[in-house]
Amino acid sequence: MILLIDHLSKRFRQQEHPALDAVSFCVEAGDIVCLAGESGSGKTTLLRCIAGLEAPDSGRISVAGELLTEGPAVVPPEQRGIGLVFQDYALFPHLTVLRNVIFGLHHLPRRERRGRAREMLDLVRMSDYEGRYPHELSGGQCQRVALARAMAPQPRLLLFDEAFSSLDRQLRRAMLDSVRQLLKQTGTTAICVTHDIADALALADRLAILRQGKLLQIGTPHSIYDRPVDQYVATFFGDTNLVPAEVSPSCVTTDFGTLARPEGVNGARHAWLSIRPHDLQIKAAGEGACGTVIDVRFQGHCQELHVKLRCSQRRPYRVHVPLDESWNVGDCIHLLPEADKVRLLASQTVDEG
Amino acid sequence: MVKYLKVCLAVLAGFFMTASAQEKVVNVYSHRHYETDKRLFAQFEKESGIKVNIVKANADELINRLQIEGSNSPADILLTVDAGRLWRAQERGLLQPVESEILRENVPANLRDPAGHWFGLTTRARVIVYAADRVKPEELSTYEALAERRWRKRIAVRSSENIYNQSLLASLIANDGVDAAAKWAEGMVENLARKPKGNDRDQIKALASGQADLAIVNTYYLGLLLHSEDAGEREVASKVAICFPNQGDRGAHINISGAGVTRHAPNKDAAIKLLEFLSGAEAQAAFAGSNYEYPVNPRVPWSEQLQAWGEFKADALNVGELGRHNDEAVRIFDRAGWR
Amino acid sequence: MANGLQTSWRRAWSPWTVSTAALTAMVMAPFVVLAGYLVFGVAAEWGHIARHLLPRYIGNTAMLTAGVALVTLLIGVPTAWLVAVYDFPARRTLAWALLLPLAIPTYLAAFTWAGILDWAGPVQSTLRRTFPGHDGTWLPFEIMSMPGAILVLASVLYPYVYLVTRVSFQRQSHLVLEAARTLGRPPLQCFLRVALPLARPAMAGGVALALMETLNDYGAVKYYGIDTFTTAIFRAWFGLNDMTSAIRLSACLLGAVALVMALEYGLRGRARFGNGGSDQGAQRLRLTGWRGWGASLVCALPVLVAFVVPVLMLSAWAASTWRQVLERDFLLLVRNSFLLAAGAALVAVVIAIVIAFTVHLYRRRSLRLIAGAASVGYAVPGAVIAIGVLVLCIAGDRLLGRWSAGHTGLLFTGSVAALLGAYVVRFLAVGKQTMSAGFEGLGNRLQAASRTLGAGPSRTLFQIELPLLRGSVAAAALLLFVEVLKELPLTLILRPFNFDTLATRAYQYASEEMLAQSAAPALLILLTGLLPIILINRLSQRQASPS
Repeated sequence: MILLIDHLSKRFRQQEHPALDAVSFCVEAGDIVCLAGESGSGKTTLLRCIAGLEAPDSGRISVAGELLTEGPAVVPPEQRGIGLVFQDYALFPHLTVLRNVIFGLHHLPRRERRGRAREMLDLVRMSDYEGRYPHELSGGQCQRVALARAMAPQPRLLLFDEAFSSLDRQLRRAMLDSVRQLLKQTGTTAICVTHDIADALALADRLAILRQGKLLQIGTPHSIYDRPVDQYVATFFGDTNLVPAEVSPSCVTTDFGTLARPEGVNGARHAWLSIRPHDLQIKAAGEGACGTVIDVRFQGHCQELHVKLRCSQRRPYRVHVPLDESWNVGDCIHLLPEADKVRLLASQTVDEG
Repeated sequence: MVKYLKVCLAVLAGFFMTASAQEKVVNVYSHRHYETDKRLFAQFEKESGIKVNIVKANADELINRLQIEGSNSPADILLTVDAGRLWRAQERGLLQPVESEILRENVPANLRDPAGHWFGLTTRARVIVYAADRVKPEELSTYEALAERRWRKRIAVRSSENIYNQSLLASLIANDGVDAAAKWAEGMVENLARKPKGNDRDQIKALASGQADLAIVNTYYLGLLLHSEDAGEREVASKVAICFPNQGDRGAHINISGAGVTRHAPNKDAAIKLLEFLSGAEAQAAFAGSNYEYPVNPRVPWSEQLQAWGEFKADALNVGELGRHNDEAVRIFDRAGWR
Repeated sequence: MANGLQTSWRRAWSPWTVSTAALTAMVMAPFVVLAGYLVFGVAAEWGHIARHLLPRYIGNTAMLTAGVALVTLLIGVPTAWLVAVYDFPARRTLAWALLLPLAIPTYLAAFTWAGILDWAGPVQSTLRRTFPGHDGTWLPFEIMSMPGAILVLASVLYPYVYLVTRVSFQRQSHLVLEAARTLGRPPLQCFLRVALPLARPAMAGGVALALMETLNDYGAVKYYGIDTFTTAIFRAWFGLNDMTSAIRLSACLLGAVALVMALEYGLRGRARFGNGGSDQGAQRLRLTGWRGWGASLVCALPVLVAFVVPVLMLSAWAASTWRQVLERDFLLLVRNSFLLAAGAALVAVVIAIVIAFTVHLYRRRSLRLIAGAASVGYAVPGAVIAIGVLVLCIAGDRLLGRWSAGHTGLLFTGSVAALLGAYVVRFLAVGKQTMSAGFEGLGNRLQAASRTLGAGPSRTLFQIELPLLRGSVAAAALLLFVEVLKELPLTLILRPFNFDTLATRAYQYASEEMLAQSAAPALLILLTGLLPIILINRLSQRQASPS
């Protein structure tokens, strides 16, 4: 276990929600963890706390068994051995690419620094540009230099702060792939912050979802996708249908009829189920709930039907069906959720927007 | 360790100290900014072998500095351009009495402190200057008469901020009493042709431009205009004439530029020597002459310009009185609205 | 301990915060002394002052500041708009020429204009020669009056408004012009409806600077016969012999300045945080024909009237008197002035960097407040500060005297060091403001990057932030240099024996009503003042258009 975060809390002056609300989790050596959440969820504050750029109000952070933060008492960032890659790269504009990388190698003997920096630039395929200044580079090139610079001192932990959001989509995919490869190749433990779930999935071994300073769920992408703890996680991470349900000890009553009570923690009578669009199965007449197709949309790997259930006034449900099936607006359709994929969500008011 | 530090301190002090104690010096705090002073001091240095060090600033600031410095003060002489400030310094115990036969001989009794705290070195007369084409000299008599109705909106005078005006009013207080002086100030305000502004030269220029018919100024400013490099200024001076008021009674108001030896003067003997030098015949001619001021030493002949203006009777009031009534004068000005 | 936790207490006592606290304490010490006078002194004449002086003085000050605010806006804003948005003949030259009047100290402008326009001056002399027979005054307008003072002060202070507003217009010109074209509105309407409201914070900032100078001016208003608050201070002190009242009035003035700053802060409102946009891709509208020349004329007029004419007058005076003034010791004056100004600029810049960097490093409200207190000297008249410094010097000397028993002289009093210290107290705000703005512009991401790469605060400052802030450092140093060069009251009272500067020499002549003789040193001060103006112009243009 390389990083341990224990009940970290921080509140900024004049803000409604705490930036961090008793966040606890740990990261194993070599893991890549993505902190995902919308802006204002506290993910960047968490990252800055780990880097030592921000002091929390309470809670602890330790890296490799060494206590780095305990409430407002912090080890200053320069003594932590934690690297940080910034959203806008934050390259030093008055230093060349090579000198940017060398800057972090102060602890090495003078004659070794240049060699080590060149090694890193090689690794990110930027050796040809070592004499350039940052303003002479493209965004992707800057990104690679920033990465080389942050990795050069061999930090115990590497942090990425929205590091890829300013790249365009295609460049970003390539970049994410090579970064993941690089991290795995060097065995670097990394934590990256992103608001884009696609980025998170491309990079992460594990995913942590934050909202309003609270850590909602942490786990592998697969486990979170399949078993979201609440409607926020369910909708944040992939498309889902939220279905109101009456809960009894053994079963739930929904628009789709009475189903066996699915997995999930909930003590309330009224609750919500999360049903992913591809987990709604099309049945023959008489089975499941009856509805009308009101829209058909092409999605690339499948087609999405919008189905209005006859027995429900709620907005249409989305159903993913294979491309080879032919559906038209106005068709009658019978739907039933796949029993073991349905998830009962933690009690929370559902924002249907 | 302490010893070592002391040596260091001594070295540092030697480096920083402005007036080294080894050579013979005299330190002067001066409000006078004239070029002549510099030449005279140089001459004194040559004759006596005593170096003259000078700090030039406004007298009030120098008095404050003296007071704050107290017994640590390096100053030997306070040199001002009016009696009021010398009196103020004396009141605060910043000057010491000096016994000098030479000074007593050179400086008339009404131009020095009876106890010898300070001595006048030059006198300046504050007089009436009038536009020669619009005012007849017979119309003019006394300062007091300037407050009469017939001069309504015809007089130019500078702000009461100015020490020369304060001294003039102080002399009126001393001679006529507070109430008469206050009345006079009120009458004067009625008679002003324009709001008080500018310096004495500007008042004379106001006569030339027709904005006013009379002005109250110090004589030497007219002298400076008469001998200006600027043709326009010489033209201004040619249009006006000078009148020494109160010749029928007490005489024209005069003030002094003078000096006193400071209470804690480290070089008292040198300081007295310098004062004696400045009051001497040779220095007086230059001291007063080049700036169109009047020498205090009665044995010194007047310069050409002063003679051209003619002899006049000066107020025999001890100029120390000007300082005594200075604060009251300022209050009267404020109440009268003479800004 | 190299890798230990820093508790918040220990963090608060880093070398940076300690030196900032110590430096601030040193800079504040003279004001503590003054506060002592305020509390323990007897303000004997206060009743008289409050009854007879204050109402008129406050009224005058209000009128003067309001007038100066209005006129600086009237000159500064239209010229800024023209230069920022349009292209017309000689635009590039006029863009920086419009800043030149800033080099003329207010008192110098006042004396010079009075000299130009009085009866013996060139204007009236020429008129008399041309139309003989009329000897009286030719001018319907009296320069030595409230309107005259407003115009003269505004003529040398409008560049503050022009400079700050121009940067704002340049930033939004792109946006405004696009709007003008797409909406079919004439540019003038866009100026009134969009650009002007957007530039409001900038205008408030510029006017606030101009008003600070106005409130602190003594020479000009005294000469023109206008009683303002500053004249009241000196009347209380010199005329009424009541220093405590003078200090009390200074405290009131300080309050007024604080009010101006608060107003400016309020006016900036939420618009404080930038108005987005940049100069990139902005195409200036080309004005051709009479419109183009008209724009040139509008921009050239302030330069001609506020700068060229006074400088010509001064030059003419200097030409007629330089033989008299340029003695052998003139070089000594120049040397004294420049060494003093350079020394003070150096010390103040270093202190400003330490304080601004500490605030930048910790971003604590409390720290910001403490550091802000170090700027108070800028709003207090120099002569009043001198009292505080003098008292401290004497106290220091007494202490030394007691400690090293034999020594009785004065180590601090009347030393160049004390003078330098006083300059720093008086002008630190100038350097601090410039450096704070520089650090703010840099943001904290580079610092964060540097810190996470293992560089401590010092290494970050010296290897990353200072090299990037070279421009700000130069600007701060130059501004300080010129301020010290112009400074008079502090120098007069605190200087060592036999020590003259250009400013004291110019004053010496001016106070004896020998304006022509004071022209040569004044001109030298003025020309030196041009240097930072040119630099500031270049910096502000770089700021407006990120390369």
